[in-house]
Amino acid sequence: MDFLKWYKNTIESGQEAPPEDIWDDIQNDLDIDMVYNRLEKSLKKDRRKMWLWRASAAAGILLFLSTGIWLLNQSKQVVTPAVVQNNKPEKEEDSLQKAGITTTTDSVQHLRTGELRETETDIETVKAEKLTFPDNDIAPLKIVKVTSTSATKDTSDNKNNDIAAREFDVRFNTMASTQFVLPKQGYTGIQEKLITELSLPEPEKHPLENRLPSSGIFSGLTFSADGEFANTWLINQKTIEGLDPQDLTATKPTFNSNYGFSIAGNLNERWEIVSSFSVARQNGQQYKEYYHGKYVSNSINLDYMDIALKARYKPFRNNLNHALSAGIYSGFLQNATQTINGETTNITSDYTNTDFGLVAGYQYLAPVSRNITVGAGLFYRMGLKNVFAGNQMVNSSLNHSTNTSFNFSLSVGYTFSL
Amino acid sequence: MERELFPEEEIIKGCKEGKRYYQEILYRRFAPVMYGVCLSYAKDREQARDILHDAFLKIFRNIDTYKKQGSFEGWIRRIVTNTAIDHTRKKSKTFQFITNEIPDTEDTEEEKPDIGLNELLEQVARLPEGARMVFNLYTLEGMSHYEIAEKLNISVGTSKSQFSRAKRMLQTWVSELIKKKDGLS
Repeated sequence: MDFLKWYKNTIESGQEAPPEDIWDDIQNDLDIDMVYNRLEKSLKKDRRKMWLWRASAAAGILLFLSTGIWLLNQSKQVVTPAVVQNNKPEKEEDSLQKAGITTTTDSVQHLRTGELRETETDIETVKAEKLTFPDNDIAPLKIVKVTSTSATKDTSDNKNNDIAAREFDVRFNTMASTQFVLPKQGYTGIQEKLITELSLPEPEKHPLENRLPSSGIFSGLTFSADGEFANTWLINQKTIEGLDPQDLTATKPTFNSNYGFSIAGNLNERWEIVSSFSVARQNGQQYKEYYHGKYVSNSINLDYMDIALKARYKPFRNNLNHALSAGIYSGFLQNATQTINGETTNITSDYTNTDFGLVAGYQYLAPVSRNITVGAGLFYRMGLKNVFAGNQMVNSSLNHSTNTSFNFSLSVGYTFSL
Repeated sequence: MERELFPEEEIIKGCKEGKRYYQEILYRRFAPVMYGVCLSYAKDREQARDILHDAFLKIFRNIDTYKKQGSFEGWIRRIVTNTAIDHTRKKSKTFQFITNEIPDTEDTEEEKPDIGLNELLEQVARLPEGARMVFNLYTLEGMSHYEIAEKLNISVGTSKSQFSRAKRMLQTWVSELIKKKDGLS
């Protein structure tokens, strides 16, 4: 017989049943494959959702900051004397009449800018002019004080100027409730002189109140000591699933406290740039972990040092106590521990050295004195980075974890005017 | 329905959908034959077990790539054979071959040598792994020496010489075994 044919037949017709545990092992590996595939799909979905959230939040903050910068620029625009127009005297009279002031047309002296150059008087003339704003029909009134240096040519002008000065007193008192806008440059001296001559009291300003920056960007600096009570979450597939009461991982709310200080630079009445530094910021999560054949309590704690840069905006002009903030933060991991059944192990190497994300929230700032402010607020911090670095057992992408927290904050600040 | 009665297409479809029931049917149907193939390539039963395990995992993971070109059993067998070669390569980076000349022997005169599968496998396992691979690929898979040379990254001459030496050695050992058994009886 052909040896090769005999060999082939013997091998292929043998049909020896393989050990049963091979199929068991194959099933186990197929189960792992299935879990892995499900996890991968789920993570991909979550990543897509997460990026949508992050992009929305980032766009919101960008819009918030852009609006703030635009408004800031608007408020800083200086009105130059060149835009001063006074070519509608009859309307001004109408407004006075509406205000209940009876005046004769010739008692009010209306001087055009060009006429001022021609009419030289030896007395000081103060007049109210209406500013023309291209985008606003309702223009605020501006007080302009014109001081001449030469002798008068015509004595009738002196009489008119006397009348004008008296009329001004009446009109000024009438318009006292109206908002006056005095550009910083060119009118500062006039403003001070006017206030002195009219014996108007110098308004007391709160350090946070709007003021035109005398030098630099900030009109004031506020130093604050901050404390936070935080509900922290370490968001990953396991802890998300654990939010389901039926799930065995049973994610529990975790609370931590944070301490730090902040410096706020007052850009104007309503906008501030706030830089915060947290000396000790804790983030963590409690949930049940499958460990040595059973589910046991597991607590992960991540300790960070943290800096944040926020824009703070006071949305209500009439009530500057309310403030909305938004910005970014960056955390630097100091220590990471895991406590299972009371036994704590250091897992710092399992987590990345840095974290970054977005922060946004609301604060109520109550001034208790001219310089001291007490604040209480609620902030949401959303981590954007996968803080799980991976270990020998689990790849970083399979346990994509981000820090998230809701923070109730208390702060005490002291404001220095610049 | 009895497992054996399931049409092959249905089993393949079920496996592609990841259904464990159909995966088990496929395993139960082909594992006994493939285990024999594994045993013929492996040095021992432990290695054969690992080859079968890895081969079926590859089958289930890649069943989507089966395009119904050729028989399904042939596709499975190719995976098993390749897995066996990979396993042997992992164990030793270079295959061991028969270096000494083996005297020519004649085919056994018996119609059916009275040797069981396990006894035959014991003799095959005595061959150096390189020679065993060449012999099995040529005999069981029907590959040419050119194909074997390419697959094992050896020369065609080596494949030919190792095949003939392995065949002679096996024949010698089988004859000795038959004589031994005859003597005992």
